[in-house]
Amino acid sequence: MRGAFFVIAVVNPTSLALLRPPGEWGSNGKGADIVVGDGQPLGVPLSSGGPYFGFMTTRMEYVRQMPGRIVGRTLDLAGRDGFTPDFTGSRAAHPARQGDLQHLYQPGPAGDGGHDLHVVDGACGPGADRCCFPTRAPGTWWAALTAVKGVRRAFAAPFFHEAVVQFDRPVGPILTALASQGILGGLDLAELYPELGYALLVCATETKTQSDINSYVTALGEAVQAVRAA
Amino acid sequence: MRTHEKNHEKVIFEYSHPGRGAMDQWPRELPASATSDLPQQLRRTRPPALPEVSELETVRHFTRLSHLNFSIDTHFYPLGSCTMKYNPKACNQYAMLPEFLGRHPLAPESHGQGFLACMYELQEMLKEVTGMQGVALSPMAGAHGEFAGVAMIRAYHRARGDLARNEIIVPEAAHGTNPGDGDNVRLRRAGDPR
Repeated sequence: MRGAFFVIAVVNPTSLALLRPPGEWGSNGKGADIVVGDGQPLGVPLSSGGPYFGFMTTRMEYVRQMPGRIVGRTLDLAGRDGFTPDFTGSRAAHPARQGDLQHLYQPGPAGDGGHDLHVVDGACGPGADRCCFPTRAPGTWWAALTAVKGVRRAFAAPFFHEAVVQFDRPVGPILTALASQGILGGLDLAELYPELGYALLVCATETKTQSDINSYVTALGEAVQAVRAA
Repeated sequence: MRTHEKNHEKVIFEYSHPGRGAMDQWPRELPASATSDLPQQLRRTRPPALPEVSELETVRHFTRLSHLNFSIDTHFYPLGSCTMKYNPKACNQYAMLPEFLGRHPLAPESHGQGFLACMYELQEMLKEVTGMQGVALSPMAGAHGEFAGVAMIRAYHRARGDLARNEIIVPEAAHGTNPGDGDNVRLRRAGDPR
């Protein structure tokens, strides 16, 4: 980050219960200028890919350059909290935007409320790191997974909730064998990242229990053996 | 005092009490193995400033907030634009079936036959009611659909060698995304003061 003019961080929001806030990243602590991410991990159902919501945050000095609507908090005449969409008249709803490629407008319906609830209910205050634990199951699942014969890790770097494993033969038949056990075994990376060889992307979040993980590891071991024997 | 005042609800941070939370859902302790692979310099040094509230406080807070909305479930709602279109309750209930909600976007087609059958049937019905021959379900929202439409119009004119049609008429009262569509495909807006 040293010497960078402008830094944009892309994050999984649930990881920030454990990791330093992007706003404080870097050796000088000056951090990112803009932080974006997908809100799906905050409790939005997968639904074949949407509707999800994304988030974009920035330092106060850039707030007025953000696209779309911004909701502000203010006080009403009785001194009570109130909320209002700011900047809409001059920004999104009126057509005085020649040369402006802005095309963001509607908040997606998927996240409203639900993601709030997830953050508040699941990851409150001092418990946030503990609530992150199910997502951080790698401490347990990763070791078990990479101990399976014929499975090896692709990268040495630490990861948060998903990682790549490699095999010595194509992933397709292994996934087929897992599917026959009712397990959707991961994402075959053969087409997306052919340079990784026979690679599989696997992921564990709070939606998976220890017993799910145990079953997966056992079934994967069996699938690898079956494919080898075939 | 303000909590139950009619038409008002405190922000959730004001309900916060140190140490409170949905503790039954927490693991008793964070095993060291769950985080030992993360380099210390990347780790948080203080907990995030999130509200500390019980599960029921949380549910009640959001339920009360939902009651502050002027919505189709509580009032006459004569709007039909943007995101306010009425989704019949039965349709919404079907869309919320766990088998639809839980399908991963990158799952193979063989695992999504029900979902794909719905998309296909919708496509055929749209074909029938519009009298058109082709349907694309790829635009994910109204503004996205507008953009796809304007991009198609431009591609149509270009494909037949008509480069003169480079203006689009957008009424002054149009929704903000409409002029954005024109600008995004580099069409000039007719009658724009500039």
